[in-house]
Amino acid sequence: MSPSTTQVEYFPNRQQQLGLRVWAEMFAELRRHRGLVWQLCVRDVSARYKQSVLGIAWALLLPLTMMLLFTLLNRARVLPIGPTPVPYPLFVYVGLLSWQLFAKSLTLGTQSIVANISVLSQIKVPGEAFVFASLGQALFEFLMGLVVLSGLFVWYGVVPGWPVVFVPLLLVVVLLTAAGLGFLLGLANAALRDVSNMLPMLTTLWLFATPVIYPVPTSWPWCLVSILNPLSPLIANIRSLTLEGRWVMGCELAASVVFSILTLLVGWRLFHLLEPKIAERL
Amino acid sequence: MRASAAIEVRGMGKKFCRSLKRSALYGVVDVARGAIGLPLKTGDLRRDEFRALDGIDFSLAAGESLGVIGHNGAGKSTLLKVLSGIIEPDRGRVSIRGRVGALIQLGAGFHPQLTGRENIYVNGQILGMGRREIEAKFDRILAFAEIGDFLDTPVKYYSSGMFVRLGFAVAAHLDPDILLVDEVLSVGDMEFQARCMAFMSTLRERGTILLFVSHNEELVRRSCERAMLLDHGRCVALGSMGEVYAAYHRRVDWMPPSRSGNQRAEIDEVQILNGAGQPAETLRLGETMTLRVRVIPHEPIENPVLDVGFNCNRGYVAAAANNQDCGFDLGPRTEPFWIEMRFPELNLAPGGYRLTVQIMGADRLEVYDWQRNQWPLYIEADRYVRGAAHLPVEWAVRNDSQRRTERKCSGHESLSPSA
Repeated sequence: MSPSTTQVEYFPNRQQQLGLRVWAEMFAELRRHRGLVWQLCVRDVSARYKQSVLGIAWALLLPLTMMLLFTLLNRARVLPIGPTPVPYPLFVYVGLLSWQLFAKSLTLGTQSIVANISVLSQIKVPGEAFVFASLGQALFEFLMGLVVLSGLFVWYGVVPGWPVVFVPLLLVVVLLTAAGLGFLLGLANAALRDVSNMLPMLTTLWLFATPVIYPVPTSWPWCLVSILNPLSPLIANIRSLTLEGRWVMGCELAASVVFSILTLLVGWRLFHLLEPKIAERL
Repeated sequence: MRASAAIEVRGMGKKFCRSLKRSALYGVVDVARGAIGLPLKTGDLRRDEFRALDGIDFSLAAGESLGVIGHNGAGKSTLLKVLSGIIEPDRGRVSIRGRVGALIQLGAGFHPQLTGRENIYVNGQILGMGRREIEAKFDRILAFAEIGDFLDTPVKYYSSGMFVRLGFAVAAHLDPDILLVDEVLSVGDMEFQARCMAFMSTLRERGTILLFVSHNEELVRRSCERAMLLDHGRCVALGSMGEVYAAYHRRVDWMPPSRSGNQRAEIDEVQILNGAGQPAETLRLGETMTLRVRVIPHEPIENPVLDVGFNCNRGYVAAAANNQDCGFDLGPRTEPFWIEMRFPELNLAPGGYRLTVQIMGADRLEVYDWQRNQWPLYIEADRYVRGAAHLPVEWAVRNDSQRRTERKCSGHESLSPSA
């Protein structure tokens, strides 16, 4: 017997009255719908590449072009980056790939609420499923990007050291940050569509405020980038663990992890609280 | 589980806001108040707010069924959404025991790019089925949907009928303890409707609670035992079909009265009398009705024609009577006079009607006075009468081998004990 067959009660302010028990409910609901999350991932990925000739190759194309662009700008001294520990194309590609994972999750997660509003307003279904499913779509593109990355490793003769095994952990933190912010921005987007118009600008500006195409700055005032931006230590560590096999920015990284978990909890809780209000108003 | 399935709704209410901006503001305020433990001010309406549902009380036990009727905007869909948990009530309490299946919009969640097969899985999971459950039911879903070769075609190429059939097929196989159906069957063709009705009745036999919203009186009467009439968010009638539909027909009031004519003669008064000779607005089906019309000629008129039309609120002229067509001449008239018409059996289908009375010259071209939709008339019956009228009929039955009729019945007495 599935849990949905048990008794439920609906009354005003239900969630607030549940207090902390609401968390148990949220986790149980997510667990119960894990099949749905997976199915929505598959749906979004397959629908996305269905009607295109290049299909999955599109997932490789964006980081690849960006890598070529920034490499070119670096070579032409338009955007001179200084010395990097590994060849610049490899350096910028790892950064871009992990940045893209974040930006894509954030964008898709924010848009997923409005994109699936017809479902949310007609069927009782946890909207979290759509947000978490969009992480999967971003992760899929990231995994595709790894194909190109392994090609670059071979080309430049770089072998990642064993600390690379910690990278998946950091990727999870990146995804959770994106999910938390996605919840918050998704809510805002449901109320004001300006948010989804603002999103490309936000991710572009944020890209340049993060050490993605350049190494972590150390001089004032540019080092603010790494102190104030919770993404900086994550991206920097993913890159240094992959390419140099070492941890950097320890304190900042810990702060980032805390930030990530808090964002996720606050975002998820707020989303859960406001979801019925969205369903009734749109 | 099914035997104990139940719905209980107590004093439930829901406010909505007409203005999008205000509604966002109120939402934030409500949530903030709730979060710090302040009670919600559900008693009063803020600017631009209205009650979509107010003071709804009812309960249903396993195997019971309720038809929900009412005008557009009466709160029917909102009620279903609250029961399925999509929106939260802001007053009262709703308790639900059992798995809820809601057919509010068929095919919500279908992705146009994906094939029928892929969509069955996605939609099934959105509705709350597990993957294994869908796999087990896949063939039955497919058989019900009758999409044939289109199974592996993207659903954007489906006809709207196929789309709806597939949507219903997936949702219906959720095997719910409580089924909420919102006017979704009207999209399909008659055969599909019939199959859906049959499916719902098998679910009911197994003890599923049914809540059915529809504007189709016949479907509601066939699929439900009781009905509830909503009007502007309030439950104004709850009980037997006959009662609730009688109340509903009284509220269907879209035919505005109007008047025209050159006033050479004037229709002064119209009286509707029931079988007992008393003035009445509501008559039983098959009752004797007498109609009295007083006409004041302002100039001498010759052989005027009186025409009475029964306009049904379902949008057609149900019947008409005209003295010239009946070969009854009114002769020359100079002073006020009464015309009396007696209808021995008023067999119009139960519902709301408005009388249109017209007095005109013998050539029927010169209209003296034409009062449209001026006088309401309601016909009531305990049972549903299909069609626009009830034809009195005499029944008989005999075997091939018999020469004489075995049983005879006029089949009319049961309808109307004339007062």
